[in-house]
Formats: sequence, C-alpha cells, structure tokens
Amino acid sequence: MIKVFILGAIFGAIMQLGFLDRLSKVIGAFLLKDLTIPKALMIAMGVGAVFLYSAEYFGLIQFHIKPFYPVGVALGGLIFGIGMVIVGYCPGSMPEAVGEGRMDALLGIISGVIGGIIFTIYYPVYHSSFLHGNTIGAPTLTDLFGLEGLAKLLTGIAIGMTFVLLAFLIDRLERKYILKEEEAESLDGHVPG
Amino acid sequence: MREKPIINWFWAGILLALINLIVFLVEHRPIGASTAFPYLGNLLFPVINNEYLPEIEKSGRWELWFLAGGFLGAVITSLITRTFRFTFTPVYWEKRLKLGRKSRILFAFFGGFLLIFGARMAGGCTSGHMFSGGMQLAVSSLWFGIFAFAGGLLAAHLIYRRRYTE
Repeated sequence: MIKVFILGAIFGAIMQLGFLDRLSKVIGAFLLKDLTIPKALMIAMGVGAVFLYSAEYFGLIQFHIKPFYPVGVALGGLIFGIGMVIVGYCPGSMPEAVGEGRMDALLGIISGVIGGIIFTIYYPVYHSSFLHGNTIGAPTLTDLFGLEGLAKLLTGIAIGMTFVLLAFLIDRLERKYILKEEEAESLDGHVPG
Repeated sequence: MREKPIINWFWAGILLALINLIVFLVEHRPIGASTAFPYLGNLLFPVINNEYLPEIEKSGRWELWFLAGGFLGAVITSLITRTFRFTFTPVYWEKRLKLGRKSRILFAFFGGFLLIFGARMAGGCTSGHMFSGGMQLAVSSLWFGIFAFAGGLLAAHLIYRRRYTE
C-alpha cells in the first residue's frame, strides 16, 4: 500500500500546484467566472484518452469501465454537482485542501463519511429501486460504434484530440468574454498554442 | 484579480493524464476517490446486514491510501511553494460571495453529505467518473459529467449568482 500512498502523493501535489483543490476554482467554474478546472479536466481527458487507448492497443493495460445505469447515474450526478457547489470541493480534492490548511474541507470530509454511512444503510433499497434503474452494460463511445483494434485506437485518439481542442476553445472564449484584457495578458501568458 | 496557479491548467491536465496512465500500468485500476468515504465510515461505524461493504472494500481501501497520500503531497508542495494557509473560511467566500463563517460551516456540512451521497448513487465522482472514466471515453462517465455540470450550474446560479462581486 506504500506504492498507492506515493502515487496519491504525486496526485495531491499536482492538484495543489494547479490550485484544482480550491473552493474559489470550483465555485468560479460553475459561476462561469474561472474555467481553470474545466480546462484542466478537458486536457486530462483528451491527453489521457490518447495515452490509454494507445496503451490498451498495445496490450499494456485493460480498461475499467463503470456500469451504465442512465437513471441512477443522472440522479447521482445532479446531486453530486449540487453538493460540489455547496461544499466547494470534490471528494478527491478535499484531502489536498486540508493539506494546504483549509479546515472547512475537513468538515466536508466528516460529513462525506457520514453520507457514506447513510448510503451504506440505504444501498439495498436503492440498488433495486427505480431510482437506480436498469443497467445497460458498461460501454465506451468506441463500443457504441462497434469498433475494435486499429479503428478503436484511431477513434479514441481522434476524440481525445477533440477534447484538447475544446479546452483551447474554452480558454479562448474565457479570455474574450470573462477576463478583462489586461488580466488576460498577465494570466497564463506562457501557455503553448 | 484571480489567484494564479503554480502550474497552469494545460500542464496540470497533462500531468493528471500521466499519473492516471502510471496508475493503470502499475496498479491495474484507474484513479478514484469517493469509495474511500463510505469505506472509512464503515470502519468507524460498522453497519449490520451490510450489503455494500463487500462490494467496495477492495477499492475503498485503495482509495483511502491514495487520498492519504494526496493529503501529504499537498502538505509538501504547499509548504515548498508557500501557499499553505491555515484558514477556516476561504477569502473568496468572504470577499467575493460576501458570506460568513456560520454559512461556511453549514454549507460545508450539507454539501459534503450531498457530494458523497450523489457520487455513490452514480458509482463515482470527479476522479473516478469524469476524469478516469472520461479518458476511457466511458458512456456512463460522460453521462455523469453532463448531469454533474448541469446540477452545479443550477446550484451556483441559484445560490451564489446575486451575491458575487468582482
């Protein structure tokens, strides 16, 4: 488990250095005032798709796709999004926020643990209820088109690159409509592209 | 003026993609965070007739160690870069949103509950669904991302929009 701990420390360092663990960045994103997190997420998804689809093609890794149950995932997603705006942190960013001294995130962790206990009690009811709904396998976008082998790799890379382009498009829109001009010049002046 | 990160969104995104690839190669699983919370809860307060714990035990233990590492990583980098601040109410909360300490306590508590409850309903959070699932182009995770973003936009505009000051 020491290996997992070290990998976690690297993850935490990236989150902290990117300020992705800050309340201001989470609430700013949803107020459409500061799009740092959405842009970082689009880059991570896009570049990650290129990495993972390549690694999978060469047999280095296996995918781990979460099951698709449209009703439960949608309802859970809505509640999650509302909760994220209210608490100001994500589950994976609260430990980092506490690590850099933000004690309100510790309160979020405590209530998250309580949420986890209540969910455990409610799980048997939820799992078989209409709120969870039917599971339709665990497909990826490439599975929907029935792609295999090289076609799957190339499609994965193409969609990944699209995410990267979208991140830069979001950045351009943010500079144009959200930031004032003098702010835009001083901010992230050394971004490639 | 907004806070400028030590590493910008582009490089943060690249590094996050890289660390997830490494986790896939070394640990044969993706990064995730939200099962650590019910797992820790079940360690502290065992629930009887528990159907959930057996399902999340393995990933819960992994994610708890991963997040413990995340905490230490953030302690180290925030001390090195002098961004460590011992605070309870973020400056943004007071200055931009004009809200106080009492509301921060209330919001952190209520929000943290919804956050984990919603994540467990959907089977993942920002890490497991949007980030790890998104880069595998998983339908479930992209679907989750759409609804989480919609929920967040709605809540932010209803709760904070009128209070926000530049």
